[in-house]
Amino acid sequence: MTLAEPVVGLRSFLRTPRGVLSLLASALAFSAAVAVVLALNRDVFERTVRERYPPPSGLLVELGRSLSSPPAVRRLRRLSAEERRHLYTAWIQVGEDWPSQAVRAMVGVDSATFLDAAFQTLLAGSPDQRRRAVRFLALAGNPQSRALLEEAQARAQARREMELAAFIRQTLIARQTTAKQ
Amino acid sequence: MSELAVCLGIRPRPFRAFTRALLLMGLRIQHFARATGAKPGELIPPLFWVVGQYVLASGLLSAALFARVDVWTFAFCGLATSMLLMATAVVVELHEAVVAPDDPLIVGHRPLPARTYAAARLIHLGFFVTLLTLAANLFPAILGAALRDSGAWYLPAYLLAAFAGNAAVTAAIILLTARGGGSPARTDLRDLLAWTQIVLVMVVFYGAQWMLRDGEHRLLRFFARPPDWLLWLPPAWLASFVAGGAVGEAAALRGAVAVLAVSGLAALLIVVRLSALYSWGLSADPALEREGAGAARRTGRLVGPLAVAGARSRPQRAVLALCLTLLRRDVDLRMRTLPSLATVAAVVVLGLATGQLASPFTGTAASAALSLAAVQLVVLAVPVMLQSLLSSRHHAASWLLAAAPWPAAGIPARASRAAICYGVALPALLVLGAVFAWAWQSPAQAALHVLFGWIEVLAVGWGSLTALRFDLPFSRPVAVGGASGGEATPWLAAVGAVAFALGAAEMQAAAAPPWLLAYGAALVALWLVLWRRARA
Repeated sequence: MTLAEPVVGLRSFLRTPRGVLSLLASALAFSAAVAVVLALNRDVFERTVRERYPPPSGLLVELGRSLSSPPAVRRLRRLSAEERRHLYTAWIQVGEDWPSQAVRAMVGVDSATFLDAAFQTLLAGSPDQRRRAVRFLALAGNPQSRALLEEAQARAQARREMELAAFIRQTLIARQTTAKQ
Repeated sequence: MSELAVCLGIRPRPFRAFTRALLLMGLRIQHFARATGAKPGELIPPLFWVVGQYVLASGLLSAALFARVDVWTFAFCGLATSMLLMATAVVVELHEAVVAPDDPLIVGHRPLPARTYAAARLIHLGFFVTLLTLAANLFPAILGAALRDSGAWYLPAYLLAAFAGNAAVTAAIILLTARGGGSPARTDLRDLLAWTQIVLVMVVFYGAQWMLRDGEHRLLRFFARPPDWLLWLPPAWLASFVAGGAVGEAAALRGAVAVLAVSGLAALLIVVRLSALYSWGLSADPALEREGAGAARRTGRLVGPLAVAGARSRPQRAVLALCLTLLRRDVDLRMRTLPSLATVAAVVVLGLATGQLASPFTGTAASAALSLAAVQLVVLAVPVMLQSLLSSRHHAASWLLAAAPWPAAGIPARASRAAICYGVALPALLVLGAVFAWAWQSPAQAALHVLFGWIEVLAVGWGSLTALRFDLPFSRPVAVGGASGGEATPWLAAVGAVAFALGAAEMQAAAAPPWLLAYGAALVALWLVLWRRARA
């Protein structure tokens, strides 16, 4: 038997209806196997879900740290929409040591831009980024931010992201308590 | 079972025999040859490539959305894609599985009642619809079941929704278009729809890249707060059923019954329509007769104005007109020739979506990369298109061209070059120029960029005649991979490398007008050299 004979046999088989069916069934079975492998590796896909931020610029970080003072708020008003977005991403990355009034000042100057940025983070950010966005909205002290938090909580519950849902719930309770005091 | 069939007016033995014959023929004939450009002699049947395209499209879509969106959005995107693919498949290829105009001649004289015939045709169609539905929905069904907000019932609910949706789409198209003449739509419409699968794969591929690179996450925002009109679409109803079923809502059970009822109704309507269509009192379709008479009456000029303007001598005009006519009429030639321009469209769309379609005269290398690539891809497409113009399914008929009394050598080759350069590449560049002018808000820059591309097209056109040893158009048999392989490979590699270098050079030359002038002069010199070489 030469090497060519099995190849010729395979070619003949693939030309029959049975061969076509076998080929199609193999393709579908292979696809299903690939899909199962991908489905079992959901955490790999979830790790890729995050927002990519440019590194915070020194000027914006300095501005953010001084946002408790009126001159800094005036400088904030002069920023373009893009720079305000960058200020938000700077807060997400290194905003822990900024004054607590910083977020309130930012949202007070331009609630549409900053709340929209936080909404986007809640949709497309990593778990850590989402928590920072929740914190941002909690500090904003704005009725719209509360609505966004409630919407995010409902979405987290529906998507069974229980840790995030619990975090938002605690944040909302803490915010309510602070407001009563 | 047989009693049930008899009750439904179906005769079991003819039904079994005819169904078996139809399925056997269905697996032997070249379904989807139109969509894939596959030839009867090829080992892998075109049906396999179509299944592969469906799997690829749904796989890319599912992988892009997996872990990013909720179960409703995931199901909606998968179901909408599947229904769109199925609609085009029925119009383009599967209509013959239902309405076969030759059947009355072959089986009309046999004792085969119309309802039995219609039921067998339905099974035949059902086989292909099932196969394609599985191919288009395997990935969304399995990956969707692993979403965080999914549940154990997602998989059956999704598959039920996918089959019901595709059955409804199939029934709607059959009801709207089935008539005795066979083809439901004009050939050019079917050719257009045949591109849907390829275009959809490209849209999903580039769309997924756009989605992942989009800093504003527009797609996620859109589906986070979907507009009201979206919820009125049938895939949205089915997605709501799937999302409810995934978490085991009791209401989803009612939805499942409704979905099953829709599927059953779709099948019933197809049987009724086909029974009425083939009641075996066949007569010639008056609409088709009118079409035929109209076609016979239509006459026109053999050589159009473009051929008159684009060629110097009458023989050259004749070949140019032949090439343009075949490019317009021959589906096979179009399928081999024009896909090379699809990448240009994809690059432009990607550039617009990602902001990388800036002017090379004012932008940076990163922001203008795709503007340069789009024009260079048109240049690179010229030798590919010329290579495909060399071959034809009816290549044996080229003896007419070979035996013609040409007043000078090389006339057919030069006319073929003119057909590709003026008939295909120039319109493509003009469209690109319009898009650039709109995107850059600078018609002058767009015109200059496209002008450089046009000089390159002319140069590469002449160079390709020599490199490909182009003699007579349509004179070689069609070979698998012939459009971009074989003896064209070194030339394509050279053109690709030079086009890349020229793109980089244009970017550098944009820094100062004298450099631009020098760059333009170098292009003209290249064109003249290749032109003289081809004329020699």
